[in-house]
Amino acid sequence: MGWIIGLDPPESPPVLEGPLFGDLPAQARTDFLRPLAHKAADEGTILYYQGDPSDTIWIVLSGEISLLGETEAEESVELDRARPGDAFGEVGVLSHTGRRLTAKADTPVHLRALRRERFELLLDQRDPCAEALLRYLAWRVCRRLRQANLRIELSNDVRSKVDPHAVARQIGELDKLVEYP
Amino acid sequence: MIDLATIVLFEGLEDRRAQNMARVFEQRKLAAGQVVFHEGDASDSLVVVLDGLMELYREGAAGETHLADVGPGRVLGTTSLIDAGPRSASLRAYDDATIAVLDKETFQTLWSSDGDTASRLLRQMALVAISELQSGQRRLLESLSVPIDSQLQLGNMESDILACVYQAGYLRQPTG
Repeated sequence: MGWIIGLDPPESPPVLEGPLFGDLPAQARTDFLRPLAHKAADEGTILYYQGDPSDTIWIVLSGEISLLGETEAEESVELDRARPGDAFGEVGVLSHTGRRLTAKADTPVHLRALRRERFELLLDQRDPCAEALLRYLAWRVCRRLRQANLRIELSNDVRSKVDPHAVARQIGELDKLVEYP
Repeated sequence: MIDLATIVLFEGLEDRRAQNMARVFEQRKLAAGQVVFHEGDASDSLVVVLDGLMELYREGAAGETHLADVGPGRVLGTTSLIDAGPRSASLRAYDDATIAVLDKETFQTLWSSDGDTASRLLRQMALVAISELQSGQRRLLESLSVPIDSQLQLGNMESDILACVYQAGYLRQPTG
């Protein structure tokens, strides 16, 4: 169980066609991704721990990653999940702070590593893929914020009195948060 | 009235760049009691309070719930401008107030007229959203650390809905 080096990345239609790079064509995406280092890891590998330095945004070619926070009782709780065609690790990179959550591979994963310095350089050069990715990452932060607020509301409602209508509405709102406009 | 270029949204930027960004905002005067937006509205702008005191509140079937007083320097609506989701609360002025507004159309136009400023502004907005996210996730973890009472007496409908909540992983199912 751990990082695997030296494998060729698999084809990844979700990255080449999904929302990560807006409406840019597959060729532009391929050109953007090709120079980025490829990493693979087995199921169960911790990709980074809360508190680690943040220097990389990870683009998911295949597999699923859970992003875990820790309660006061030191229990791990899933706060977000990254799937093929998604990216994670943006919070620490954009804010120049350490990792806020722990990332764990729930399946075997294939990833591309976008280093902070490269991302910032490409943004300064007005690279269209980097700008589209920035828009996606900003949206992702906002979606997670809405999810956290709705889950707090849900938790409060369930504890105080289970009002089926309020809870059903919140579930509906949470489910709607998955789509990138 | 505060200088727009000094707000948290422009923190860490050179003066000249902050001034450039501040120029794309439009200043608006509000009368006492005037509502800027309602909870659930389609979002089309980011708002900065420049002068006066305002109220964030929610509008429910049982009436209004006060959420917070907000004063000069406070940035509101960052999330909505980025993700195009609905407003999560309503905002109105207690007394006469002045706000600075960046609407979605102006922001979109900025990408073609001054893409560098638009890109910098989006990065700054993401920082504001990240700060709110970190505080939201802290509160969520605090909330989840208190177990839900497994002995809740529920009817069938409530039980079914709770089962959906647990299955989706939104809340943790009590053990025992």
